[in-house]
Amino acid sequence: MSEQQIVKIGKEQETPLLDIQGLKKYFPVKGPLGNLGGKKGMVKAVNNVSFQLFEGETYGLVGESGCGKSTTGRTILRLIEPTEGKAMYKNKDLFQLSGKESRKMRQELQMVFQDPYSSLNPRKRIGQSLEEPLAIHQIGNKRDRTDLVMDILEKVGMRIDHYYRYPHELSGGQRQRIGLARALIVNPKIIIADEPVSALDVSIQSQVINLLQELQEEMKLTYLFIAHDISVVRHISDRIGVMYLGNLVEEARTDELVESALHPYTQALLSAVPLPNPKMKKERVVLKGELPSPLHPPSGCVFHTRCPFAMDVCKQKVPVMEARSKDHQVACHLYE
Amino acid sequence: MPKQPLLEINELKTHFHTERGRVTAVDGVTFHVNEGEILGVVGESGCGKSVTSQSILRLFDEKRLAQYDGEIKLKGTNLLELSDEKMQSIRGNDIAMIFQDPLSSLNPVFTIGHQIAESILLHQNVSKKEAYEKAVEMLRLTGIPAPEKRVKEYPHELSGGMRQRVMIAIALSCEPQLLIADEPTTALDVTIQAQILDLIVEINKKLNMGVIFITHDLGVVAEICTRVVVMYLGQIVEEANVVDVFENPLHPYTRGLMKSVPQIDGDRSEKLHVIEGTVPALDNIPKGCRFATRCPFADELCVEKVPELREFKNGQKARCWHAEKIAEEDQEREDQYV
Repeated sequence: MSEQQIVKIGKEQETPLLDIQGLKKYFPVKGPLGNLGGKKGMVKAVNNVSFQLFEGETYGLVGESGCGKSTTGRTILRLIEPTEGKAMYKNKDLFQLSGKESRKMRQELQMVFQDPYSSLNPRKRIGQSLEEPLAIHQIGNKRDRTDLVMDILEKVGMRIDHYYRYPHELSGGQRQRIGLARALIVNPKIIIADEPVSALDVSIQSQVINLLQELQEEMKLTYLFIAHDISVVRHISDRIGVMYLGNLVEEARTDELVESALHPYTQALLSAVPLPNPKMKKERVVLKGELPSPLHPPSGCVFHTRCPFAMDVCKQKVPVMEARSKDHQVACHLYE
Repeated sequence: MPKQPLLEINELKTHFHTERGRVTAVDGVTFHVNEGEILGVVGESGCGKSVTSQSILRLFDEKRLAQYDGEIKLKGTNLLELSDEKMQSIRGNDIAMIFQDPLSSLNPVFTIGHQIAESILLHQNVSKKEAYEKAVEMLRLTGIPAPEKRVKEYPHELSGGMRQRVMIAIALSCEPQLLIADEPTTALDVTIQAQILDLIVEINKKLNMGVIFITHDLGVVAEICTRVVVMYLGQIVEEANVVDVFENPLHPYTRGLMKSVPQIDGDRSEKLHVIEGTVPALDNIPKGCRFATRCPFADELCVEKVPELREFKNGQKARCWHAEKIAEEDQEREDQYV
């Protein structure tokens, strides 16, 4: 309970738009006989993750593959059912809503996916794909919907004649714009963007990032931006949370996190990013070994097997997320 | 006289026959690689960087897909004139390659020891036992812990970073003079990428091997390469040593690329630079400069006439009509700030 109290003191004046509390998602691992063989164990994909989204901000969630950042994003929208936890949005727990209510709620929380190729139906024209969310949420009549689609196409920088095109006629960057348009067309409050630019080329990537920022200002959006590329996350986010093996290990304002990261994992992650500057050869913290299997996570602090500063206590006790300064929390025994 | 370069490519063209007619994916590429040097080849998808590297090994031979023009000289021998058998003995022995996705490059039904030994047996006159011992040794060289145990494992038992180490072990098993690495770290996480980059640099120094490192990540280039070739739509648009490319890029495309990457120490309040438009299709190449459709400096000359790759100071080369003018303007702007 202590960690939540600390957060609340820091953010007294503002209530979060979305408040995730103790989110857990465990996947059962079954034997070769499926349910007959019984469960072999649990993969703790997301383990007790708490964070807040405030109105109009961008919260970046970073971490390496398998750290649970995408699962976190998906459980919030209940694309995957969470095991435990709360997601408070407008005084309601999203995880307690009935199917009908939850569909309605999705009008306000939308998702943008990584791969613009597989997230669009190849047999539908762009216009049809964009109209679908409007039909599902029963917004307007046929004519209104067409108008809305034309509007949104323009907003994401596409031409009106793209209405009649098929996805295969578009480039990767254009498809990602359509993916974004489809999320925005129902006028959501929160966008959960799961690696929205990592499938794109460098020059296209910057176009989409700028578009995301322009739209945020124009439509007063709140972003949960999930990505593995720290440079991109840093550019777009106001606050950043770092995940490792299902746990949130550090959270801070963007500049503070980059300049004075506290958790050894964050430090290693930042120092591993290659800088496009050949004259600056920096000291790298090279992490030994690889990510442990989430089926058998290490005891105590999950990072202790790779941590250069691991102590005895790290093997036994799970560190608790605690605030070190205003808006800067870390889960590490080094700072206790 | 400077020493003969390890690999010399002259006016290489690779044509493919497609449904829409003949397409030239690589159009007149010229560069060289010296011994012990890491050359970076940078560009976005579809710029011809992978086709160039696969042309060096003539990997399109088998399916009779491609037609080559020009010269690829490995220590003076033109690879494009060799017979198929001769070429086969060059592959792996003199030039080895590692690919982006190690899982699809490894055979899932054989142990990794078997796969490393296979390439040793194929190229060297050794017994099976010796080949297996060599395999263990190669795994140790690439920094895999407990190699004696690991040789008996299958690809699915290894993580992405480990698999890429196995690929590197296979590539190095016959001590090639040239290693072509085609986006070897793109599929890996940053902390694992850092490990693999360190390994490639270490091996490059230890064995004095030439490396062609193909990537789209400018950060990686800055970190490990000595010289850089920038490609756009099948052609080289800029070539220079790594410091010049980053500090004084001459071609507008290179400059655009540099500016559009968000940097970990960049100014966050500023908007990212954008290169307008998209790369044109290969069957619809602009008449003049290939970058003219997206270039902020383009004028009539650029639309009409194809620029040559011209040499500037420090051996820096750029394919742009206005390279001097752009550099001058840049200098003036900088002077103003001072």
